[in-house]
Amino acid sequence: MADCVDVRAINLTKVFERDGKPLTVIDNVSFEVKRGELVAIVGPSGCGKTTLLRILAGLVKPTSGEVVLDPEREQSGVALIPQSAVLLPWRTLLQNATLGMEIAGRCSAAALERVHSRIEAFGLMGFENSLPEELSGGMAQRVAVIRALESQPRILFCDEPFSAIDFVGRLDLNTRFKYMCVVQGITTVFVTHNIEEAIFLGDKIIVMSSRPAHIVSNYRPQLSVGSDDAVECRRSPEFADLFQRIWRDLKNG
Amino acid sequence: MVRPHFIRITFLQILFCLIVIAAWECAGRESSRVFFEIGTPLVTLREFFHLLFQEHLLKHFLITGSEAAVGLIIGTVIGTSAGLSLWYSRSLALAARPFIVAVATLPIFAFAPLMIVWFGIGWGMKVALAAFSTVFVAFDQAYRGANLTSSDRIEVLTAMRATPTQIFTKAVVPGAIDWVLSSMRLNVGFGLLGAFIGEFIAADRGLGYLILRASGLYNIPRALAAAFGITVLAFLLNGVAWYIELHRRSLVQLISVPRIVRR
Repeated sequence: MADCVDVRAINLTKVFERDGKPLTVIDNVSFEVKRGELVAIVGPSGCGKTTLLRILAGLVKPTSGEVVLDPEREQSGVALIPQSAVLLPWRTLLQNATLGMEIAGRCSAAALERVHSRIEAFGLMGFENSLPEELSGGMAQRVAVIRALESQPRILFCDEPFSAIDFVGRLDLNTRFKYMCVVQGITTVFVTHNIEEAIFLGDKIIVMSSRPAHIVSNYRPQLSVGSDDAVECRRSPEFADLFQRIWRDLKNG
Repeated sequence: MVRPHFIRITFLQILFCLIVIAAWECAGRESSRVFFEIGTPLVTLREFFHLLFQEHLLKHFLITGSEAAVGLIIGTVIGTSAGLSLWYSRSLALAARPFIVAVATLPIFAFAPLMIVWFGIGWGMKVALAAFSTVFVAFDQAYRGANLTSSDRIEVLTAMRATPTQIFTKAVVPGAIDWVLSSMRLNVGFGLLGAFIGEFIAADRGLGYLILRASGLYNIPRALAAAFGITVLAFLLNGVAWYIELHRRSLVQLISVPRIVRR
């Protein structure tokens, strides 16, 4: 059970055409995400991380290679947290937060109760009836996170979901996010350019090179202190060590 | 509370009307030619009361109004649903495009005589003409609005494995609502025009019929008085369209948000 692979990327390559010339964005990328695991993908800006995530989520077809999702898990729920929150402007914060569970057909009074408590946990209470135009970028991203988590996904794809949130708020959200993913047993692919975020969140870290993106290295962080707290984890010696190594990989990749 | 500049603007509007009416009255009294061509306000008012009390103006008003309104509703419903549903099939939409443009640019009133063949000379013919003259605008606007749905929104829903129908009701239709409503505003004019042309071709009732008959008798003030009825009608229909536009938020909620979280 623990060894089931939920997401399998097999020899993914993506070639775009720019000015009539082929431009390889992703070059032969293969990896696996096991059930309940959180895989963090780090890479420099513009390296094709977002494209890779879109291919995994089934929004873009790869030029060659394929993505295999566990059919049963895919059936019971997939969600995406895009980089820009993409809230629907005619829906209130609460209604945007419930969109995911509406799509998944999981709209009930109990579910609504849960959304309310999550809105509170994310520091958004009092804004339930606000429209997206009245929310800051960071608030909108939090709503996008709730929207995805409340659809009760089995597989979750995240594209820098906390990039518009200030440092302190980001640490807090990292802690909560990791807790929720673990509790719900969600298989997660998390794209970020923030090394520290990747170290804290990832069961596995995949470091990508700049374009054309290929995998430079893999890490499995083993934090001896505070693996469930984004602030505490920085005390562990492995954190600093891993940070250095990933930073070097990124620089040389 | 009434704001002071509102009072000032209303005052200016009334003043403007008074000046125009006074100038018209003077011109009509001074020149017999002007009197023949546009009468005077007082005569027009007299003719208005004549129509109102002797010629059942209200009945004609309601007939034309119902023709335009029913035609408008039919045209809007058919055009909007067809235009929105084309979102489902991109290839069908692209294939249909040139035909739609061709039909939409045809002056619909060229078909007016055919309407008699198809729908007779009664109330139904005017309704059909009003529907015909509104359906293409409604279609075109709905089609455009639906196809402008941002790909980001579709992607988020697609990634959540939403069905096409879920995407349609939750993202496409609510996003196109402004286009649909603005087509309705445009179509108030087209619907009225359709009803009128219908009455000009063949009718024994309605405001168009009153105008046609009064002009036939060179009774310009009477024609003007009937035309005033049209203005009122346009004003009312526009008011309804405006009211619906004002409540578009509730409309969107009703269409796309489940009751449990609806406001």
